[in-house]
Amino acid sequence: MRCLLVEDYLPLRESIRECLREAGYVVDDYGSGDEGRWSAENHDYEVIILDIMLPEIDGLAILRGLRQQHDKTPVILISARDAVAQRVDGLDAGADDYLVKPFDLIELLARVRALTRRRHDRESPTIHIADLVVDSLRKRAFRAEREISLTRLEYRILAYLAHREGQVVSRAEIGEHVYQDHDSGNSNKVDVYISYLRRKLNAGGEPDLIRTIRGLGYVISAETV
Amino acid sequence: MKNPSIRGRLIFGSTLMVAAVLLFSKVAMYREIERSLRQELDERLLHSAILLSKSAELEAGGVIYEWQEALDSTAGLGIEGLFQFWNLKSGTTTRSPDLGAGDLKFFHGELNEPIYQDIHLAPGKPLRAIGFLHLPFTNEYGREEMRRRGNILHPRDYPQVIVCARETTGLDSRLSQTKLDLLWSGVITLLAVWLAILLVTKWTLRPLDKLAASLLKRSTEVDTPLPEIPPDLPRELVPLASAFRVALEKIQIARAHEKDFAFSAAHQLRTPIAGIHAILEQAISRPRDAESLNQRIRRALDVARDMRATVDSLMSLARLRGGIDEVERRPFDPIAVIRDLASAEELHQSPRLLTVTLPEQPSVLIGNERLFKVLVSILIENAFQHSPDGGRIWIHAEPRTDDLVLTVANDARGFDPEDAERIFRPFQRGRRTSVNTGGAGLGLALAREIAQRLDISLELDWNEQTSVLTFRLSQPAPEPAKNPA
Repeated sequence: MRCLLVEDYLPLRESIRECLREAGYVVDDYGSGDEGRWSAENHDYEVIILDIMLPEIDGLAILRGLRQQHDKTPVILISARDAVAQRVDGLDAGADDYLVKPFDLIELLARVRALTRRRHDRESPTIHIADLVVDSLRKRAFRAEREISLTRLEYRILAYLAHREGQVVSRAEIGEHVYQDHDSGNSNKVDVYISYLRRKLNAGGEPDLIRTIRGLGYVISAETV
Repeated sequence: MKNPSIRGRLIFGSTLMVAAVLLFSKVAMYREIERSLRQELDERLLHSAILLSKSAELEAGGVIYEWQEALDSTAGLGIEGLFQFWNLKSGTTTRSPDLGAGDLKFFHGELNEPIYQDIHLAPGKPLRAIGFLHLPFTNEYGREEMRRRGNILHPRDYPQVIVCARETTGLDSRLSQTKLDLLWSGVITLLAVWLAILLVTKWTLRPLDKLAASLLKRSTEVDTPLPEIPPDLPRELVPLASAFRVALEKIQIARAHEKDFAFSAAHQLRTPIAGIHAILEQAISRPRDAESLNQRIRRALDVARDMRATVDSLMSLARLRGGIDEVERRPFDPIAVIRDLASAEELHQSPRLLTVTLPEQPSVLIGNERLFKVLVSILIENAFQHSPDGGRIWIHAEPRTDDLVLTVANDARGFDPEDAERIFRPFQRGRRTSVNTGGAGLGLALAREIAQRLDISLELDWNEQTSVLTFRLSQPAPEPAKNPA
């Protein structure tokens, strides 16, 4: 799942980016407001992490611009401004959450997970689809109580499909949300990794939970093929 | 301590003054009335005494009191009051009928010079009296009769004393009533004046109350415009209200700066802390190899060094502002200081083009060399930090007849002229300056503080055509030593 991080202070930006990537997220990061705004307006993100005091355009202006365009992507504001009025300003501008610097990265990660769950209408970080369990907290997957060994990319694809359980997900969407480089996720690569995933998920002879919808993409659901 | 009240002072002062004027005028009025009434009484007594004296006639048989004859023939003489005659020759006395057997006090002045006295006929019965020593008159008929009888009498041998008196109870009572009337009219006048002053001051000062109420209301609100001076405010209070408004505006600006300072300080201090926190948290979030940990520690150390520099600058600023450090002034060569700092920057091999123009001859300034060095190094570092790669930097010093002028200029494309004042405030940086640029926005604030302590003028000039930002320092040279001769 792809996150956008807009933070101008390099040491902090690098650490947050690394933390999110280690947690399985694909991260686009920028140090200036105009780059961040362009990316937010032109890509689909699970969550946007936005600093307020940025050169060129400040974070609140970016946020207001997104909300004016009816973009509902969850936004977490991060700022050194800790006064109640400032937090209220941020939330009233359309933020879904507000973190005051300095903060714990694990807390930021938990909030990203919470907003991702809310976006996909999930109550728990653990997703159950028939006998498949995807634990987004520990980044592990189980099928019939058997742990499935997945590469990072395979896990990302599975987690993304699982979060959108029952929905048809196009190859382009998978490519957009799973690959670090926006252009890397072409159809063939996605098809190859889906086939790897199917092989691992169904290694015990279980029914295939991933269905191919011809011309549209893939859907994962308890409804077996 | 209770503050004095304008209204109270006006009322008290005006009432006191009006009361004094009233008291003086009422007393004067009373005295005039009393004098007039008593004079009238005295005149009437004198008139009676003169009339009576004209009734004492010296005839061949002695002194005849014609008023007695008049009494017998008519109802009276038309003379009010009491009177008594003393014939000093015969030692006899004659009384008016109303006097009965009583005696008036015997007194008189010189011949034909009446005098007045307040006397008592009986306890509680005060009288005003005139005592008049005179000689009886004679007429032709009387003198013919004396000649016929061969007994010539001379009036000087028959001096007469008339004491004529009238009761003053009525007069005293009238005067008492007049006194009371005057007192009450004074009190009522005073009350009316007091009430008028109270109402006028209340009405006049009402705009001040309104202004105070709106200022009080304003003090509880944030970012609302300052209250206007009410048009009905008395003109005498307008300068005070205007001065107060100016003070409020300054406070508002100071509050805005303070707010900016708080925001910017929070940003400049919390952000690197967040950076260190994140770096270290990431370092221990999972097992990592020694090289990775080493890199992370080094990055955290870099941030810590930046923070140390920030804290040092902040402390220097606080010490300068608080006047903690004593600024010792001694002669030093500023050109040597500038040359050393410029050479040190050249050693860094920055990708910027530095041009240094300094005079060959040493110069002498009286000041603090250490602070001067800090000031110049801030300006030079600032020029390097905020110039793009390949940008040009100029350092030029020029000793003049009465001062030394140092200019540090650099290419500053993208500088916002609106930042020209703001960047001299603590933790304020150019709006387009990245947080990753060295420093925390304290350098120029520190530079200005040092300049003020050293009595140096520090000015900024922005040339939009050339995109060159110039900081100009000018320090007056020492005054030539006075010749003791």
